[in-house]
Amino acid sequence: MSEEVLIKAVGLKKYFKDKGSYLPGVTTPVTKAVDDVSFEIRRGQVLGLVGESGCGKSTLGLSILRLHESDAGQVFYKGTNLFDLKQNALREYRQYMQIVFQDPYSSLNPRMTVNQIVKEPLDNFNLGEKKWKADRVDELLELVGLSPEHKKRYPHEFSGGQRQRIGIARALASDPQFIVCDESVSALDVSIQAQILNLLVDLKKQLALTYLFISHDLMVVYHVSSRIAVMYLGKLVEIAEREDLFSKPLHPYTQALLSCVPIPDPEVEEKRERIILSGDIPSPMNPPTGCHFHPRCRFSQEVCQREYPELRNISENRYVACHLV
Amino acid sequence: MTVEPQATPILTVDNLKTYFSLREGWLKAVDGVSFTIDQGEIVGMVGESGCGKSVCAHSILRLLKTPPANLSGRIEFKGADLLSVSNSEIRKIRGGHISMIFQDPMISLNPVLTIGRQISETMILHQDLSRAEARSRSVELLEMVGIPGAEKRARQYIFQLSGGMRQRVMIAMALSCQPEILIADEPTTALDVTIQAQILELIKEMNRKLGTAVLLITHDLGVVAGYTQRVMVVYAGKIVETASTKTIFSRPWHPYTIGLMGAIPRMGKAQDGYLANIEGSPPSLIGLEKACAFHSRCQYAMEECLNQVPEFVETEPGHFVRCFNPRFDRRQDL
Repeated sequence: MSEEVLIKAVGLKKYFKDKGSYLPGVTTPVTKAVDDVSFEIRRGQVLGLVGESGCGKSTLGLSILRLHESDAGQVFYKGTNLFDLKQNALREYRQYMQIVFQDPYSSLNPRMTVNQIVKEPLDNFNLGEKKWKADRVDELLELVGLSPEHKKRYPHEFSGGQRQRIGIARALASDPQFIVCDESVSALDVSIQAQILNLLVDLKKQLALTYLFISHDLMVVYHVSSRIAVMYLGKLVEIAEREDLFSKPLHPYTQALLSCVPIPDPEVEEKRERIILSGDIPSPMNPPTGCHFHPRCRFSQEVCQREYPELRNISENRYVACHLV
Repeated sequence: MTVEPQATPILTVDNLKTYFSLREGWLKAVDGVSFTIDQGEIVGMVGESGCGKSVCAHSILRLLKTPPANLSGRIEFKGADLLSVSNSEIRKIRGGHISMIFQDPMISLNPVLTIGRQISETMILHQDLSRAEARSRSVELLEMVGIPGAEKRARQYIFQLSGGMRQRVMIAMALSCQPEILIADEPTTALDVTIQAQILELIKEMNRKLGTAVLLITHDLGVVAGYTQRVMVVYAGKIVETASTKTIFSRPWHPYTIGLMGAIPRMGKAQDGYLANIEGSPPSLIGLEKACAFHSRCQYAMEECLNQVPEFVETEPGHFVRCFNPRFDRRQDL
């Protein structure tokens, strides 16, 4: 744990406001997609971010890269506050921080060849000579398990897994140090998902990358992450080392989430006790008062309805936001 | 497992073939599938996208348009062959005796009818209930599947409900005429884990309470492990392995099944570890050559695999594998 802190987010907030009503006296709801989130990622670490749909995990990923403007907070990359940078200065930092998206169908331009797609970041950041760039594209394609012969083809000629490889090659082009993987394997079948996960693990080792790995699939997150953050309705409810989180989840939401994950072993499944949460995830537009989780929580008490529990440091490297822990 | 399934098959599918006629040739979505479903049991069907599992489910109820679909084989239900009965007969069976729930309730339910009305429709059709009777019965059904404020919900429309609730409505509708068989086609794929657990528990409870046999189609081996008694693994339109759930997870024989199991991330493995993956991707179902469909991805492929289609071999009682060279000791992922 002595590695330097590569990414640090402090009090990050991203609110989405409705356009507003022309009627007087009508207040428009605000969706607190990311609400006061702080964490840090050390170099070479993989921070997994899990949560159910609509909890704000993708928004958080975009906020970190400043792909949209946040409402409050700071993000530091090696100590530089990205939110203070002017556009020109920010551009330089963009090459160190990249993203791989979920849907390999919509995140590649159908009218560009693979060569153009992978070369674009090199052109953008003005990296190297023409010849070098061509070699670099070949090198990148080989790195992600494609062949340089694929260069002239268009995205529609590839399968989902191969497209995701193209997306990864593009992200790697500018030689970044930090990559946000936003549900990068969620759209793929199990056997293809395993191929891409192996590739991501491989690249991480080879190129000493740091990931923020966003997924709704707990087992996938467990597989790649060294540390895991659990998100619920815009807030982080628990952060812990992967083994600690899975062997001894402290937040009732994490406990329920883990108990719901199907385990591919009938013997284990038979003996397992599931914590079935009642009801649905509340709307982030109108989250419950106090602890956002209290209406679905088994241990809910009076204090939970009144006050939001702060994310507290429980033991070394472990943070939980619950009154009862 | 609480209920011991009785060994009388209620549905027998024999050599079902569903081919689609395309300009490029025949697309063999389901290619000679045979299986049975016993009374009161939950059978799982797993496979990756495009392997033909949904087409198989749709074929059972003759929900596919013919042409382009072309069905052959036998589907025996209560002495009748579902593939040859008249259209009015099959309409009685659909919803009345065999019902189905789909992956996406948003597109499978009617947006302009109230929920109560949609559930009533099936009962009015199959059970000769009056509107008022059907209506009060649909409120009961909504209560049974755990929808709070059922009376009020019955008057609402689909867009007013969350994803999990919509799936509950589909289940209520499917169970309204006490069918003998429920076909659940990826019922929880679009849902979050906590909601998925709610829905699967509900299906299991209904199976226990009403004795409805369930064919659970999914791509998630974890779901199969938790909720089924028997499994069929489907690859490229064929069942490649079938056995009781416990057996298949402890002793998978087919290289594809073994590969699938190795490909799922599990607990207890080191971080930065690799998953045992299957190289390549599934073949196109158009113009499959006369060979084992898995041979190009199989590390144990032999001469025979390239020019013959393997038949089922019974490797141990009740355990069938479609492979020329099945072995149970190849699994190394655990």
